[in-house]
Amino acid sequence: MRNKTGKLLINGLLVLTLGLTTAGCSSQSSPAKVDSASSYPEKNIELVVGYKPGGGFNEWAQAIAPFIEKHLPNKVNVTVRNMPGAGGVIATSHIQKAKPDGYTIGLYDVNGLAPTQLARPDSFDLKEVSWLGTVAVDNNVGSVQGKGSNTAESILKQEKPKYIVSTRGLASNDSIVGAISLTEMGVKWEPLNHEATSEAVLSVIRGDADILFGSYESQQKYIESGDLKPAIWFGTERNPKYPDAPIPSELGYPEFNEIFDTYKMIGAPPGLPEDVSSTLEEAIQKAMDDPEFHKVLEKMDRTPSYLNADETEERVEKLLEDYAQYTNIVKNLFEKGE
Amino acid sequence: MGFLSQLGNVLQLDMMLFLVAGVLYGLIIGILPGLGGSIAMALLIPLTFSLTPEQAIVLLISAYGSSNFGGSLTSILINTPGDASNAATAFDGFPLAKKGKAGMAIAAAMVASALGGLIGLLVLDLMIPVARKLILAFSYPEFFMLAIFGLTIIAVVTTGSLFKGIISGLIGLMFAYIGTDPIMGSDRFTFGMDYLWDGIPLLAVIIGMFGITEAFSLFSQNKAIAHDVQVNKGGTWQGIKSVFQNFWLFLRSCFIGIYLGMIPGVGGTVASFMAYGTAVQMAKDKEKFGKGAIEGVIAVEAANDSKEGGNLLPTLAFGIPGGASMAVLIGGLMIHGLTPGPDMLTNNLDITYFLIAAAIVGKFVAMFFGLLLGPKLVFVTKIRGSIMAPAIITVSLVGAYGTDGKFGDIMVALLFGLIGYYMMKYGYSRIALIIALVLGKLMESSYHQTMATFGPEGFVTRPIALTLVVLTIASLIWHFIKKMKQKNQMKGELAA
Repeated sequence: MRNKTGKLLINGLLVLTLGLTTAGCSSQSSPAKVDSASSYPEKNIELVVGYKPGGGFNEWAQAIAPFIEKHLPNKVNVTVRNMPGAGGVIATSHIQKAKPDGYTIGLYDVNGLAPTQLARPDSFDLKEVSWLGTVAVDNNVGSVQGKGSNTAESILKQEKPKYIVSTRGLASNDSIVGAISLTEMGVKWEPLNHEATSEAVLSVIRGDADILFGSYESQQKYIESGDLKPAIWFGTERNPKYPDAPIPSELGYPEFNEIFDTYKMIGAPPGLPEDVSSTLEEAIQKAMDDPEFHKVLEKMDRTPSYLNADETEERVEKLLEDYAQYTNIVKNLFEKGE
Repeated sequence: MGFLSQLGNVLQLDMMLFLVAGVLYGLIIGILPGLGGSIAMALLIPLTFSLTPEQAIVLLISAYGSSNFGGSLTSILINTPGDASNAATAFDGFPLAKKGKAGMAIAAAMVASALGGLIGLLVLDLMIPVARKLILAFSYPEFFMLAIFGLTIIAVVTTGSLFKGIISGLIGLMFAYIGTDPIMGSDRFTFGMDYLWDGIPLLAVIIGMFGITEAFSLFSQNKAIAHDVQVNKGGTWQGIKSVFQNFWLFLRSCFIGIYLGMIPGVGGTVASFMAYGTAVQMAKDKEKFGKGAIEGVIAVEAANDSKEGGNLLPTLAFGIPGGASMAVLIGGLMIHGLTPGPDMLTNNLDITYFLIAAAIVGKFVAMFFGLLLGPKLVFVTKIRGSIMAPAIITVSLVGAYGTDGKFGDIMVALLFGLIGYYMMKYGYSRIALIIALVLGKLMESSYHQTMATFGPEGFVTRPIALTLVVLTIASLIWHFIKKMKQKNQMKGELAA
C-alpha cells in the first residue's frame, strides 16, 4: 500500500513538472498597459545587463545607475539586473519583448550583438531599439606577448607560416576584428578559441597564441603590467602611451582606423513613447555630466564618452552596415572550425 | 610568512566588526542553495563604495570565505549543495546524516574547511615569489590530462556495477556537449533555444539530482532523513578529532585543492571531485565510501577551502581570475583603485599580505560560528518526510532560480530531480554523471586547443602532461589489480 502511494506521488510530481514546463512557455507575454507617461517614472526602473557581475559591463551599469536615479524627476530606484546568457542575447531579447514603458532599459554591448544579429537574425533587431545614449566609446587593440618578438610589421610580413589568434567565441567582436583585419591584410592565421577573456589573455602571455584582439578596456591592465603589449592600435592617431603601436592607416589600411571602436550604449524596448524617452535621455545626459560620476569613474580608471540618442542610433546603423560589408569574412570565420 | 606583519592590522576593532558581519552574511548566503561565494561578493560590492579599501577587502574576503561553510551545511543535512563545489560534500556527508551522525559530519567539515583554508593561504604566501612561473607552466595539454585523470575517477568512485557507472558517465558527457561548441563558439544541440546556448547549468543539475531527488524519495517513503537511528546529539568533538585522525588524507586533499585552484579554466568544482576520488582510491576500504565515510567529507572540504589560496594566485600574479568568484573580487578591488596583477606582488605587497591575513582570520571566525550553530541544525534530519520534502523542494527551486534568475533553471532542476530519482532506483551512479558533466567541456576544448598549438606530441613531450599520463594509467591499473586481489581473496574465503 505504502509503495503504491509513493508511486502515485512520484507520478503526480512528474505531471507537475510537465505542467510547469508548459506554463513557463506560455507565460512570456502578458497584455501591456502602458502607464500614462506624464507622471513617469512612478516605480523602480530596471537596468538590464547581459553579463554576470564581475565584468566591465556590470561595472559600468553599477556605476551609472545611481546617477541616472539622481537626475530623474521623481524619486525612484534604478536597479541593475544581471541577465547573463548566450553572449548577451538572452538579455537583449528580453528587452526587445519587454513593455516599452520606460521601466525596462538595458546596457548594450552592440559590438558583440551586431555580428550575432547578422548570423542569427531572428531573436532581436538592434535597428528597432529605442536608443537613449552612449556612455563609453573605446578603441580596439591587437596585443602580443609583452616580451615576445611579434610586431605588426613582422605579422604583416608573415614571418611565421601562420599566426595563432587567441579568441573568445568566434562570434564575438574580438574574434571578428581579428578575422576581418588579418584576412584583409593577407595574413595567414588560425583561431584558438577559449571560453573566457581571461583564458584568451593567458594564452598570449604563455606564448601559446600570437595575438589577441579586443577593446582597450579589457586589455588595459595586462598591457600596463607589461604582460601584453599593443602591436596595432585601432584609432585615428597613435596612443601617446604606446608610441610603438602603429595605427591601421600607417600599415596601408585606413578603412580600419575607426570601424572597430567599441561602444556601451543604453537603449529601451522598441516603441518607447516620446516623453518617456526624452525624460530618460535627459537623465542619462545629466548623469554623464555629473562631476561626482566622473570621480567614481576616475577611481575605476574608466573614461566616459557621451553620445546623445540620435548619434547613438546613427552609430548602430553604421556598425551594422560595416559588419554586413564583411559578411563573407564573417561567414568564412564560422566555416573555419567545421 | 609575510602575512604575519599584517595580522595586527586585521585584528582591529573596526576591521573585526566588518569581518564578523561578512562571515555571518557569507554563512547565510552559503546556506541558500545556489548562492555561493561569487554572488555573496557581488551583492556586497555596492555597499563597499563608501568604505576604505582595507575595510572593503575584509568584508568581501570574509563573506567569500565563509560561504563554503554554509554550503556544506545543507549538503550534509538535506543533500542540497549550496554551491557546485559543495556537491561532493553530499556524497558522504548526507549518508552520515542518515546514520544520525550529521553533527559529527558538520564538525569535521567545519574544521577541515578552516584548516584547509589556512593551509591553502599559507602555501599561497610561500608561493608568491614563484607564482608567475608556476602558472605559466600549465597549458592545454596539462588541462586535457587533468580532465582525463578526473574522468578515471568514475571507475574508482562507482560502487556496484562498473558498467552502469560508465553508462552514467557517458550520459553526463552527452549533457556536457549541449551548448556552445568550444572550437567555433557556435551553438550545438540547442534545439533553437537561446537558453541552451550556455549549456546545461551545472548547479541546477546538482540541485536537482541531489536535493530534489532526495525530496522525491523522502516523499515516497514518508520517513525522516535519519529515521531508524538515534540521532547523535554530540558528535562535535568526534568530528573535530576525525580530521586529525586522517591528517595525511587531509593534507593530500589540501594540495589537490591548491594545485587545481591555481589553474585558471580548470576551477574549483573539479578540485573537490578530484579530492574525493583520490580519497576513495587511496583508502584501504573503498566499500564504505558513499555510505557515510567521514574521510569523504574531510577530503572534499579540505580541498574546497584550500583551493581558495590556489585561486588567489593567478588573481594576484596576473590579474587573471582563477574562477568566477575571483572575477567578482577583481571587480570589487578595482572599484577601490587596486588593480590585481603583478603590482600586487611588488608595490602593493602589503595589501596582498593584508588580504591573506584577513582571509585566514575570517576562516577561523567562520569555523567558530559553524561549530556553534551547525550541530544545532541536526534536528532537521528527524523531521517527517512529508514535511521535509516540500521544504527541500522549495528551497532547492529558489536556489536554482536565484543563481542566474532564469526560469529555465527551475525546469532543469526538476527534470534532473526526476532523472536522479530513477537513476538512484535502478542503481546508476549520479556522481559519475556529475563528474562527466563537469569535465566534458574542459576535456573537449583543451584537446582542440592542444592540437592547434602543440600538435599531438604535446600530450607526451611536456613534463607535467607526461607525469599526468603516467599517473592516470598507474591509478587505473592499481585500481583493477586491487579489485582482482579482493575478488581472489573473497573466492579464497568462500572456498575455505
